[in-house]
Amino acid sequence: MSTVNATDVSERAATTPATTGNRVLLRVSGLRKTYQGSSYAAVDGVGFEVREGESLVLLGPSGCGKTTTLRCVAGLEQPQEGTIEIGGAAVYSSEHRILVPARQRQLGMVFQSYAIWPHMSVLDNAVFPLTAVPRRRRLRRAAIRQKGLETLELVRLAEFAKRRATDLSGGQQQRLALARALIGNPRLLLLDEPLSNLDERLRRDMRAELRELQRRLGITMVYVTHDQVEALALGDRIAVLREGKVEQLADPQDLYEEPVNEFVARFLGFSNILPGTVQSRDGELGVVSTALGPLTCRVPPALAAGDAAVAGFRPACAVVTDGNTVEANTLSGTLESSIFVGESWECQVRVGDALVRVTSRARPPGALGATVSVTVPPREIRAFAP
Amino acid sequence: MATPRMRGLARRARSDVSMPLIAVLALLLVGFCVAVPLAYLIGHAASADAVRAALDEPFLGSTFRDTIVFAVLSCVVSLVIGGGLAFLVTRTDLPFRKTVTALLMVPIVIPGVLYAMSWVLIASPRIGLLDFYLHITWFSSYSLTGMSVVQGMALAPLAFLTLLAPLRSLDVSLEEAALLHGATNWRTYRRVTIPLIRPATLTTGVLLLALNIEAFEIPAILGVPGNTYTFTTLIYRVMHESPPDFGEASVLSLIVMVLLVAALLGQAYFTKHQRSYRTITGKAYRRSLVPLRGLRLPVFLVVVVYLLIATVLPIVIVVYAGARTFYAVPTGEALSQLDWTAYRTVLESEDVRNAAWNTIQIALVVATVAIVVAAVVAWARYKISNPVLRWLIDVACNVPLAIPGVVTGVALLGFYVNVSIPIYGTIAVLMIGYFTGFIPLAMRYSETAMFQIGNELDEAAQVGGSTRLRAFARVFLPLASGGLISGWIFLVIVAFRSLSTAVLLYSPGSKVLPVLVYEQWTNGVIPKASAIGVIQLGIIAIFGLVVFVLLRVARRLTRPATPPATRTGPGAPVEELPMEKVLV
Repeated sequence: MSTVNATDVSERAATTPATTGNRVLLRVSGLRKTYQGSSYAAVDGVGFEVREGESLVLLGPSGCGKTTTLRCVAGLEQPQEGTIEIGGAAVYSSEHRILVPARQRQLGMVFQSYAIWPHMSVLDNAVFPLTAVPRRRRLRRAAIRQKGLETLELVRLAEFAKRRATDLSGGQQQRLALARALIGNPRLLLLDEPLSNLDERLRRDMRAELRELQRRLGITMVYVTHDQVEALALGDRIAVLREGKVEQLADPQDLYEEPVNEFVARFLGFSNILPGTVQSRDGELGVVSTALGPLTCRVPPALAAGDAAVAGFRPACAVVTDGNTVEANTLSGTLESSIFVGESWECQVRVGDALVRVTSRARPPGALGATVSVTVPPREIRAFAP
Repeated sequence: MATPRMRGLARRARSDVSMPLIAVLALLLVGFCVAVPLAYLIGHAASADAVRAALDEPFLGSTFRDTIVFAVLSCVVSLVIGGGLAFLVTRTDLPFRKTVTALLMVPIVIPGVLYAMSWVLIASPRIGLLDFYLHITWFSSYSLTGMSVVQGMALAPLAFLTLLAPLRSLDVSLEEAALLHGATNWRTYRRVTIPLIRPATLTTGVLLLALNIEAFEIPAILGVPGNTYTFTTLIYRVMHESPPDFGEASVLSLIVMVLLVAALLGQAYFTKHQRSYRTITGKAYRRSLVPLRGLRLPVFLVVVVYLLIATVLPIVIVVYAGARTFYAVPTGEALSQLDWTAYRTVLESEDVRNAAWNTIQIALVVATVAIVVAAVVAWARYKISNPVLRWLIDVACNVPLAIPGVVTGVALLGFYVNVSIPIYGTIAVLMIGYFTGFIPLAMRYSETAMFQIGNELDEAAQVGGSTRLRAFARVFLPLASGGLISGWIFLVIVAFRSLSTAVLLYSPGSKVLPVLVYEQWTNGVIPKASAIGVIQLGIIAIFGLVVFVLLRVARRLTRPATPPATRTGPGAPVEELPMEKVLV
């Protein structure tokens, strides 16, 4: 799992749009979906709200129910329980037995595979939603074409309008899928891991481009991903899902700094997790006793002395020094590996039975097998409910 | 220091010619088998007498017309039935989809002669069930329409199979995208599903056209009595006049081959065109099935009735006919006079036993040789980088597609009667004929298997110090074995069913079962023809069952070592139905 670099976060924090006060566009509550022939619920009581112009990211590992949730919102999947309201009107309600078919929900969607129709030209792909409306509401042919070219311009594909869709590169197909999803002025844009088929560089560019477009056009979107960087970069709020349930719903900075439990913490880069119990607490800080000794850390208000807890920190938040450091929160161990990866050294230090990962800016002191100290500042280490 | 090792390497380099040598032999064999009929036909057609005889042929004009009508009509029937059923079992909530799929395959193993015969008993005037019981006279199996429909039903499973794969592997999100962006179900089919399936449908259609032009059994049994000739039956007729006119037969053969080449080039074009429709695939979602709602039961009943008419009824009627001493329409009285010992009598007769033994020998030997040779040729084609040579191999391996079995028969008959190789009148000449016809099929299977393996695995073996022969035997063959076995099974079954190659090449000592059935039928002995045909079908069924069980056992024993089908890139893997599943 990659760590989030600090600039991403601060940049985001500075530009969070004022979405509060806007009306709620999408409301999902008590959503449950069990696949036929499966005993457990893929989506198990998921609920959230998305305001107009807001971007919500559903984040979680594969099989957590994020895509199923999105497909239920899209109308491609029929849930068993719950309510989905778009613009104040129910498109699905188990109670009132409402199920509006996908084509009448006025949504746009970007599929993971892009789902670009190979037998159509770029333009034909883009304008499809305009040609699919009933004849009496349909635009004139020339107007459709005009609107198609404008939308393609938006994603910088206008010059390819006449090409066959399959002649486009992966990134271009992806932008075409976006153009098609946007052209009908959808109430809500749904994206299902749209960047996962692109290579790293392209993904970075597309991420920025997508965020910029979303803000500029005021698009309301629900975005599904398993990549935390993508989630932090693209979400006004992020819902972390696990086994069909929402574990935490928060804005990116809160989520990054204050994960509510071990699962969310691990998913957001707290890869060093040490189980223990809360020994004492004093204001924001407290002491958690672990197998490796007591650690002073930030303890959330929900945890009291005597509670079982885990202490966790990110690899980049610790420092490796030679074995003579005597400071608080210092663990002594042997340097097991140290790999230079350009910006930093990725070290693994064996402390007792545990293997601690540290991303060190400086070259770690000593050779492999040497005794080293790992120090974590108390503010960088957090206690979580297990 | 390095000298002994270098000498070792040099020796290895010198001795690593065994595989190329084998490949050259295989290529020569294929080349010979393809060149002989071609050279013979062209040589004999290139005379003024031959051309004049062909032009004077009274049936030439009607044959042209009837062949085209027959081919097109049958093709449409197959596509409508096969395509419709493929859609129903892949995309709708039709009940018992799996069972329907399996039952639809059954006609593949029914020998063409038997199928044609059964339709005489079902739909001919007077003795046919339809006329006798329902007084249906507008549909006669002896009419051009009738024989086209029967041929269409016989090949419907093939259309079904070839359309099943593209319908199944169609990326669901392509349709979902249309639904989500406002399209109705109908509009989604019209704008997305049908256009995406169109290339596969065209390819299948043209292939069916070619197969219909080559067909012999059904036109021979259903067309000839009413003087409706297709090219294959006309050639057979010319060869059966005394004396047989090789020149005229050769000219007619070349005409039909031109038709076939045109069809096959069309198919090649469409296949090439189809490639560009591959798209990036994402997560595989279980396809949401189209609910048939109120139509579910009626549609299911139609499918059941079709299965009964196209599969069950033909088998039942010939089984019944085989147990009669003389044929009569099945009435209560006729049913009470059945004599099942007739089957034993037929089984014990000398000629049936000889023919069965000949058929089994030919089927097993030819299928094995064809698959092995094709594997070697496919390997060579893969290794050869010279584009001209590759093209030559492709052409040589595909030419037999354009040679109907009857035409192979004409050429080999003419050739081996006149050369001093003493194989005429033995089953060896039949084997050569079958082998020629099998090259393209065998190549399809080998090349598919080869394509899936990828060059790196073979290269890795060579880098690891193995000779090319060893790499072929230890890496290619085991990995390709699944595809090659499927191909072998398929070839054995085709060899068992096919009449057209043998019908001109057999001699009294080298009859095969389909020939015997056809002979009895044309002599008017319906019960004996039916009984032999049923026995033939029985042998195919037993073979299929045995192979099915063996493969099951083998798979269970080797489960951990399932061959890793190496696929590169995110391209949609073309779903292929293993033949053994299809056939049993």
